Amino acid sequence: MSISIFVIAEHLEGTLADMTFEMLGKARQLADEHGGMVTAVLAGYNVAQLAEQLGAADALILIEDELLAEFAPQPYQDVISGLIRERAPGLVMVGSTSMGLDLAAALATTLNVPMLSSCIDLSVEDDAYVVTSQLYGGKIMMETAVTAGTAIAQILPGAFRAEDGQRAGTPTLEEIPPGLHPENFRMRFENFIKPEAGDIDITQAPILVSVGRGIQTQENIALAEELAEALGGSVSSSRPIVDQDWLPVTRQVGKSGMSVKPRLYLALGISGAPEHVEGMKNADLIVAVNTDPDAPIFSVAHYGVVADIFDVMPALEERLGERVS
Amino acid sequence: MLAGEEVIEQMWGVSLDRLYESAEGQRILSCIQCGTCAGACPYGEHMLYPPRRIITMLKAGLIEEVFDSDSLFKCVNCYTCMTKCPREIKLTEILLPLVKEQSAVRLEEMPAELQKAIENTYRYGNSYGESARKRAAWIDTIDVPIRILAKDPTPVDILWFVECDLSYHPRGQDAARATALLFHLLDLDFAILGPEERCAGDCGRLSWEPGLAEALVDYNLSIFEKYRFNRIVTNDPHALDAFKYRYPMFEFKYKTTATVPELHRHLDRLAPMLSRKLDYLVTYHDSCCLGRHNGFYDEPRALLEAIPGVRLVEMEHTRENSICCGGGGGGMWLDTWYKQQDIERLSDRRLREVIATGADVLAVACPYEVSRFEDAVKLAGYEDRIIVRDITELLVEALGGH
Ligand SMILES: Cc1cc2nc3c(=O)[nH]c(=O)nc-3n(C[C@H](O)[C@H](O)[C@H](O)COP(=O)(O)OP(=O)(O)OC[C@H]3O[C@@H](n4cnc5c(N)ncnc54)[C@H](O)[C@@H]3O)c2cc1C
Ligand code: SF4
Ligand code: SF4
Repeated sequence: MSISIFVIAEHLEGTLADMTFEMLGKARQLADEHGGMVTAVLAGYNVAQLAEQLGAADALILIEDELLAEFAPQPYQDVISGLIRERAPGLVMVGSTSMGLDLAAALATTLNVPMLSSCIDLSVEDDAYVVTSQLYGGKIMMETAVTAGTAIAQILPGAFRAEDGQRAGTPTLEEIPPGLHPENFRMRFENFIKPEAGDIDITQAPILVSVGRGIQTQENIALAEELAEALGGSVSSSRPIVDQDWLPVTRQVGKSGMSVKPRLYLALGISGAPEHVEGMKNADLIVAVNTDPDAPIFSVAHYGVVADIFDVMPALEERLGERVS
Repeated sequence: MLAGEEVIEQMWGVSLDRLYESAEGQRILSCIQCGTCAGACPYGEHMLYPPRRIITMLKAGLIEEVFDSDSLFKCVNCYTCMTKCPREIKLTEILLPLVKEQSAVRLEEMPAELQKAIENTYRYGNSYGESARKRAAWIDTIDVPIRILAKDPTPVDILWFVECDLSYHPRGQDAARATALLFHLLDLDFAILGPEERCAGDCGRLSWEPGLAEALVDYNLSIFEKYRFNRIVTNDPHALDAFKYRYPMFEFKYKTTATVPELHRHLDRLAPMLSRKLDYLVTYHDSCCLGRHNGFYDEPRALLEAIPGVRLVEMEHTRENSICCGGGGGGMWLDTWYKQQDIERLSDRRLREVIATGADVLAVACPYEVSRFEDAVKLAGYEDRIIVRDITELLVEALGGH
């Protein structure tokens, strides 16, 4: 089967979103394995210069119009549905993002084609695209084979690696007229409200160095900050640390704080109370350091170190320093 | 205090717009604006509209302004105002939930913790978001035989409604194990619903999400119908409240009591089993629902005093004056919201009274309290001086040779 995938590019304020690269990377891999074409679709206004980052695609369809400058559901649905109807690709990849959620279902109903939501994997088997979707928040996986016609797949952010889709090089460019029907638009983009510049968002950090009461004093938090920096991560904490105002509430992990799912969660001097564990048990890798071998944190940790954090922190940092130099 | 039945009759069908058509609405009109409610409320000073002012606004036709404030997010359903009101206005029971419901609807953003708890309860039947199938997993951790009705549906005397915290929270499970052992030793005929049980829809959630509460009531009633039992016993005073005051509106007809009074009924047989001396100075924290709302003040104390060696000491605020741990009325899922408003958690405030007694053990009877107070103890740095125990845990500790 020859691949024919459209990837709907997402951009905000002149920057392509990671989501775009995540989808492109996967599409590229399938096209390399099975042959065929990956087409990026870029709708916007004054966005032609983004083309040079879309080297993972074979072709780029550029649609520019002032009405497409910022995402608004109706103009985007208008141009993209027209395009899909005309070109009939096998699969259209859309992000499961605020933009994609507005787009995918509307495209599917307008075009009367199937839509697959919450996709976390994609492969090609025989003559079909096989899409894996999450059900029940990830407790159940569903595989769907798309055998003929066009289907819309809504891809979960983080399902694929953005790095795989970040390739320089400009794909073959085709610019098409928007052909918009503004008389039908009942929604328009007003303005972009930026969140107040706040503290770092620990739910986005790939690595968290998390401290509990074992850290003993507010001053010692600086040690954790140093270690986090060496690891390329951020500092989070258990609630008593926040209650004592040693860290802002935005750093609290747990039932009454944030739920985090970093690649590495390093728990330093945290006992592992159920209210804490509720917020971090889904981390990819949990490493706990605690002087108490019976601390409940060890029952959720993948690796446990029964040791004093004040021995472990400097030793770790030293090792990391060696690796860098 | 009114008998349960009378309260229920008054609540049925009462909505804010038709409030004055009900007996309770007429009673509200009798408010003398004495302010006792506001003064007694543990969070009164933080509320723009404490109960007294809510009534003023209601009478003045300005209730919308109350809805737009977040005053009632600071109400922990502690029943203090209602217990103290000289006009016996059913504030916590009737007026406040109606106002809370409207305030929640208008809130721009539901606090994330509360939102998550409500969503989890809707999806999984417990606020922890744990699988329903694991609800009875704790029974494999003890030797006591525990019957699950789905497996053996023969009629039983006591349906033990374990509730979420005792089923899932590790410290709650300690109390579940202790309770099971005590029931077993007392030869009580009891069984549980296990995976079929779902949150009773306690007072906190009832006030924020009446729709969810009703769905839970419907569900649990449909399960109760499947089995034959005489009465319900539950460790969770909030579930007791739900069964005693809310479920009867939906044709629920079972007698319900809490574990503490149930154990107290068997004290003559239980006391001789308590042969191990516990040399503890104990102070007991009255749970709002068990104490103020249902009048069980003496039973928990009698159980504690039956333990050889235990000496009881009272806190400054005790029995009907007890201060809430802050977990009721949804407070269990608003800790960070309180912190962001710069309001001290009630568990931290209450712990100072505990510490002032010089007690070594804080005894509690509500599953929210163990985790709340153990956390407060850590924050105060008192781990070496005081431990928190459910009454059932202390009773089991005092069993000689078991
Ligand atoms: C309703 C409610 C909501 C809650 N929400 C949250 C929440 O969102 N997040 C949260 O974290 N908690 C929450 N809690 C509090 C929770 O119950 C615990 O009190 C808290 O998580 C304990 O924090 P900790 O592990 O830092 O402290 P502790 O439990 O005191 O643990 C400290 C640990 O450090 C170890 N230690 C000490 N010194 C050293 C050393 N030098 N080297 C190595 N190890 C050392 C000790 O052995 C101990 O295990 C909540 C509680 C309630 C009641
Ligand atoms: S205590 Fe009762 S009578 Fe007094 S102000 Fe409050 S509601 Fe009114
Ligand atoms: S029930 Fe308790 S917290 Fe709520 S208003 Fe009354 S006294 Fe205050």
